[in-house]
Amino acid sequence: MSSTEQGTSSAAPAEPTTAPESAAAPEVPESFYYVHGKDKVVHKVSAGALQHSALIHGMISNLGYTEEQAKANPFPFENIDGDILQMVVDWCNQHKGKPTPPEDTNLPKQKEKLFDLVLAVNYLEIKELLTYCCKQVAMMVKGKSPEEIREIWMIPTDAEDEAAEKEAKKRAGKEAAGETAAAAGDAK
Amino acid sequence: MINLRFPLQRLPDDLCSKVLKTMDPHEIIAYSFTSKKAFSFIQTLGLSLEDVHIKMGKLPAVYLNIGCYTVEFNWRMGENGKEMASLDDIPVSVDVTTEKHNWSLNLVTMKRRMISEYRVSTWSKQKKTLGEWIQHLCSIFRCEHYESEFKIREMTFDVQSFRNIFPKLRRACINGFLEDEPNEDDFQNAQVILRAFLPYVKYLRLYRVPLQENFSLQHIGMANLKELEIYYPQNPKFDYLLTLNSERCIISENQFSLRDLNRFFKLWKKGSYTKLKFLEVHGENIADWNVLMKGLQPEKERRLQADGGEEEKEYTIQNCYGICARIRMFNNRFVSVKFTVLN
Repeated sequence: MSSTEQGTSSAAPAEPTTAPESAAAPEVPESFYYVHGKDKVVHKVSAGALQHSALIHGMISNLGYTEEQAKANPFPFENIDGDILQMVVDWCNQHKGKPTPPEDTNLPKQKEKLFDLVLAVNYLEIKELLTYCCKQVAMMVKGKSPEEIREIWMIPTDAEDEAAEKEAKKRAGKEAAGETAAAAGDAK
Repeated sequence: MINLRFPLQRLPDDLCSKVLKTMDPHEIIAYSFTSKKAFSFIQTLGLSLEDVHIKMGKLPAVYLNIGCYTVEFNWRMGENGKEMASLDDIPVSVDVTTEKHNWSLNLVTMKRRMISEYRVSTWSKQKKTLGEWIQHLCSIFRCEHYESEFKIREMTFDVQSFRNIFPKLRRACINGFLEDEPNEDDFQNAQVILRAFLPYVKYLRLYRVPLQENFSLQHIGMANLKELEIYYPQNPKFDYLLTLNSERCIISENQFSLRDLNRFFKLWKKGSYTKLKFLEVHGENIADWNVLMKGLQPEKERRLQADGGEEEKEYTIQNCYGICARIRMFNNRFVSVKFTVLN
């Protein structure tokens, strides 16, 4: 991870955008963890916000990091784009310690990123956000006809599906033949 | 114009199913028409519905009842109300009506009121024949209750198409309301429907259905039915009832004979009709208890006070197995005889 590329993010990770804890809450110092995506930009997130993610929560429980160790070892999510991870972190911060409402208006609005967001949220096991994302996907075809659904959800025609299946079979056959040849070569 | 795209089928199957399960039933149905792969995926979800009603007439329709939703499909078969020829015809378009029922509570009166929201849309024919449409709609969801209504002069049918296309019907209703005398095709159609579904159907209702000797009420009565309703049969004969095998039977005809019913009850006393729980016969007649009860030696006689002030009676008879049944006769516009097995 290069600190110059990360700018201020890794040197002094941005404070989460959550509202301050209420005065009535017990004075327990909040612990923070650090995550980064494909772009290596490190995000500082409180343990409370990260509780939304079953995956990260499990990692935290298992590792038992101190604050220093957590800072030195941000959780790497190389399979998640930086901007998608930013959306997820923002959502977790906004919903930190709050019951999630049945209709969430704080969902990321960029629908073109919805596919990557769904995959990321699924990977990070953020149940509520995944439910909202799935609803968002379903809303795209609300009241639409089969033809419109086919277009919006980019559903291949039966002919395209058959061609893809044939292609996959052919590829699998070739791979199997290659493996057999390699095994025969090794035996010699 | 559609600007946004989402490659749904590139999602893992569990996510795909999560998305689909958040959708309304008519949208799930619409999705099932997008491709064969989509259709089989929907089938794997194992979604269930309460019942399916198929209406086969000049304007065929299918009603799917899914919890608080009813989705209705109406096929336009041609311009200017062109008559339906067969299940192989391709419709011009399909009207899809969704009705969503919601209950609202009036806080002043504390009464619940049902509010229905309707949405109508028109789908293309999806390059499917009427038969393929019905087959598709009946195989998306899991359902135990399929019922169908047939109007015999408004379609041409064949047994094999029915068996191939239709699900196993639980309830069937055949309407033979004909303005003129039935022709050969009407007899043929009625017979085709009955031959196709009689082995599976549990509830059967026949309205003025033209039947012939080679497939008569006798054959229908022998079927293993829970309920048989016959309205205005043609040339009814009492002998047709001798093989009655259904649990409940309702017969409405222009005229019926109390003497025949008396014979029927005598046979019941001797141990026939062991499955019968209820029989109701009504039509024009003179309510004569002496004819109806002749030789039946009732166990009990009870006098009842009818609403109109006229005195009515009921008798209890017992058969050779010690099972009791109650016979009641009502004389309003028509005479009705109700026979109910008590234990």
